[in-house]
Amino acid sequence: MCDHDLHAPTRPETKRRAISLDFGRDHDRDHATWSRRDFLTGATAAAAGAFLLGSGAHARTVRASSHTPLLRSLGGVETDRVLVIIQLGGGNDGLNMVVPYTSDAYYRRRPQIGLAESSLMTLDGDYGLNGAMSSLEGMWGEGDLAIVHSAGYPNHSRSHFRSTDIWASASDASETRSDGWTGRSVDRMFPGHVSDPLPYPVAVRIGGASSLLTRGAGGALGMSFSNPGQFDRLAQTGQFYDEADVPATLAGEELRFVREIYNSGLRYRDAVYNASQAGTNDAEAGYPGGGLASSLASVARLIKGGLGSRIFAVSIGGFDTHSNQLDRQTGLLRQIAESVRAFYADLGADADRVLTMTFSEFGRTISQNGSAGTDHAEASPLLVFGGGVGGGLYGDGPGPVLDGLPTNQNALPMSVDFRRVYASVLTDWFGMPDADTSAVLGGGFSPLTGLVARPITSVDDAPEADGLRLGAPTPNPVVGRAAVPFTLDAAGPVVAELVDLQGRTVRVLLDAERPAGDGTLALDARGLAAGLYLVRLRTPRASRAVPLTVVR
Amino acid sequence: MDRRAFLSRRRPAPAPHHTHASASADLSPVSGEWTAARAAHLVRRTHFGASRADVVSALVRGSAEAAVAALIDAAQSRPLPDEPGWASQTTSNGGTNIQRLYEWQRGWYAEMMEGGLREKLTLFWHDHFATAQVTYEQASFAVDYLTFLREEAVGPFRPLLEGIGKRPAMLRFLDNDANEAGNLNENYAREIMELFSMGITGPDGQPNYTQDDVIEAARALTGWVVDENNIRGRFRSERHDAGQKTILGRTGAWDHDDLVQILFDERADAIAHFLAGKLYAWFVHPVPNAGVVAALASVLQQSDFDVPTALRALLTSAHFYDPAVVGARLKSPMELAIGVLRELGVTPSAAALETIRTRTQSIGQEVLNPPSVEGWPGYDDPLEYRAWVTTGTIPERRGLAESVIYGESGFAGYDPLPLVEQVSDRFDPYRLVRDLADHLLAIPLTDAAADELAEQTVLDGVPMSYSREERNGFWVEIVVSAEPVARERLRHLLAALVNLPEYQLV
Repeated sequence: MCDHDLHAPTRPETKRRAISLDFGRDHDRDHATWSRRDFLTGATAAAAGAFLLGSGAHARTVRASSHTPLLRSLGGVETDRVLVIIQLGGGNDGLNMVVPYTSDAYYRRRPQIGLAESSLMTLDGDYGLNGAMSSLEGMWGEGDLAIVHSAGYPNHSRSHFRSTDIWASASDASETRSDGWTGRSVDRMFPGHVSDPLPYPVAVRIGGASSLLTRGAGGALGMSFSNPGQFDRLAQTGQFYDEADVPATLAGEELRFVREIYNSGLRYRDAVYNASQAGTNDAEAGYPGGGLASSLASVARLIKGGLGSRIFAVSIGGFDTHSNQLDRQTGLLRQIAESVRAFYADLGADADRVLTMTFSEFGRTISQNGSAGTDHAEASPLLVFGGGVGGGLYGDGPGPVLDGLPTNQNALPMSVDFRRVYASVLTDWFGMPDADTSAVLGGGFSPLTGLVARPITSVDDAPEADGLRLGAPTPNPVVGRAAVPFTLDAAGPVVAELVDLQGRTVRVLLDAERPAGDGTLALDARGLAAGLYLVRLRTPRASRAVPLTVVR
Repeated sequence: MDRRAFLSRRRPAPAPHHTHASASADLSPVSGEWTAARAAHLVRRTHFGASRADVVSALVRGSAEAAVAALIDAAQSRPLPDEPGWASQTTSNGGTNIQRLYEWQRGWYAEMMEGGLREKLTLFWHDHFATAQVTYEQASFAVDYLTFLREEAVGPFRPLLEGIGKRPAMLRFLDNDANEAGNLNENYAREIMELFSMGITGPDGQPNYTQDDVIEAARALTGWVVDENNIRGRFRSERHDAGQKTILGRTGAWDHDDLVQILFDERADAIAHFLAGKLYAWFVHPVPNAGVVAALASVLQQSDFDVPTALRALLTSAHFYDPAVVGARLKSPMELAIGVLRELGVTPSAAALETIRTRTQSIGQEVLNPPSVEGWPGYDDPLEYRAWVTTGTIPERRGLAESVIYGESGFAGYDPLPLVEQVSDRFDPYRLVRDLADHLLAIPLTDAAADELAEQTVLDGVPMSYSREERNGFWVEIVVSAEPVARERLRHLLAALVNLPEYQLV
């Protein structure tokens, strides 16, 4: 289907439409649950999906809504880390993004489209970044940019749709899954979120990133905007569905009425609208034009506005450069670099809690084709941005590989399984227990050491900016004794409590002066009812909480 | 439930509060081509949703006149469904009775799937001559009541008004079985005038009857009781007030059937106007158009209140096909639930019918148990017709449609490819979205909106830098090499379509 050299120009920005798609399952699971709850107000709490704590005479029912403060504190306090995924649609040519400028084979096999060393932003003695991305020089210098060489998977598919699905679902090449890796992760991070939705969309997609990415057991999660214009309408008018653009007829009046009801019933509309009002883009951030910049600016606005969403997915298309690659890819890479740089400048104080990664379904052929382009192939590098990353290059670079390959092999083999990058994100960035990471990714994929420079689980890590860190409890879930590590950067009073789902303190774990440095909270869970609790640690300047599950 | 309490929720019959502008305000016949869009509109309004087969069948008739004639013929010749084995028995076991009711409700849903205009009109008459099983209790009365409505649904109005008061369900529901000489109960006497025939006021705004008329009519109605052994109404002359009564100015020793005759003799104008307004509300829009309603009333009067004649005039009128009213009604729960099954080509299992029962009840419509003697306000109350659609019901309405597509909650796994083959070309992603949108939605999507939908569902993940041909090629690759993926994407597409606000309209 791709032996062509005519290409439509990049699709113009979609205009606002009479319809818009909140796309069924992106949030309607939550809708349905929420409305059933409203319907069943007078019914038994168990039937309405409420939590039952304790047992026998001491059992008490807790209405589902009553523990949202706990979930909010999980969302807002404990780990407010965010992942932004940029999907590069069409198959990005990695060899012209991260160029092995000391490889003879690279230049031999790309006589017209090989990039001269002098045009590159030097990364090290062998690799340089496409010169169109030189606006990233500052982030590279600060150690806020990591590059993972030759990411891919065994038996790589060269089909756009299959390979996109594999990246989105983190499946093997031979496996078809109907859920995505971030969707499955959220199912683990927030057990019960389907029947008991969070007050904010746990994932937000803007502008056409694969819906499979955020699909979990209960359907796609969170909220989806088909284009930045749709987000803008929500931010400006509070409307997801356009109530103004209806025919001036009786039928139009009814359509307007239904859209009104849809808008007012959208579960996350208020959360997203409020965040979009609370957050503003920094006028000095310097976003370029284009859909990716608009999408990232919207994401920045939501993050700065305090939306609890953990996962944002955006996309940029046009990488399927079978012909005239130099012009076309250069413009796209420039958009990515300038948009991401502006995004981090815009985030300001929030920048350190945002990790951004790119992916593309496949890399492209090593040799140029007859149209000064490249065709579908296999592995390609991906980029990871943010103050939380360990800057530098990861994996084996393609240079020596290229020089050793026979010329009839036209695809770069992988050096890093892409699921190891996902493992870094889940285990080190989000602090997910190893067992959960294995369950999400299928097991056998260890994080890339150092890719996330500030893993959430490490007790050796420096305290965060407000001088306090609280680590993950071990073991968790717990039957008997558990330990929770913490770090203070200054001596002072500390209060630690165990809090239940209703926000009530059930144990005081510590209430004393403590010296600077590492400490451990000791906790004995015997005698506690089974269920979910929070361990909360407070100093005069900061507060942290981590979830702890007690099992019997 | 306290009968008085819920009867007292009734408000005076609302006067038409405004009329809407329309290209045509009379019953002049539709002209121009008989298109698939018009055929689909006719089927959506006269059935529960538009199955592909019914639309094609209406389209091939070649004209609105022929298509409507065929619908009416089919409705009149359709055999009655079998009655359950217990239809001739009452029971004192509450559990048995409720299971019987559920069985009969599910049976009605199944009949709505295939029964076309006959079942739409049967529900119309149920809404008009409302009775509620929670009051009359016996499920076998519900069978008798519904069978009576089915038998008379597609015919003249007079036999309905004469017969409904003698059914056990109605005798119990409005207490006429307690109405006896010297011990009057006015309930049915009032409603037969106010709600079942002519309304409180006539087309001129003048009262149609007085309180004295109600009392005198109640005297005429005495003597009817429920014969539980034979599930029918029985006249017991010793309970009847055989004296002289004066009703609407006519004096005589009137009984039940005399009262009905007097209503038609003395208030033909008002009855025609009242019934025309209800038919208009059901088949066009709950806010009456004065000109069209007046024209329809005169058709009724000239045809001795023959409902098929009136429907023929309405459903072949230019007004009925005016784009201003196409898609201007909010779907009732039954239209939504049965409609999505018919539109997707799903034959429901018993488990699916049970899901329909619980879900439609949850969103405000339990057939055989309307909320009051006025029926459901969503059908014809100009002030409250939007009651079907609220922030509470919308998620459930959407969830119900989705359950069918994703094969959940008692619905079997759904294969979307046969539907796509019927309405479109499985290999053309943009065309199939447009064709499915036309099939499912009463209000057409813009081309841009349909394209966007294609790109978000069947073409999810396709680089937007691709040319149209390349995107088509991408989709063909999926259909040819990964049919399960194609099916899943088509399910997402269908889910997106039924989740649009437009899908709530008919």
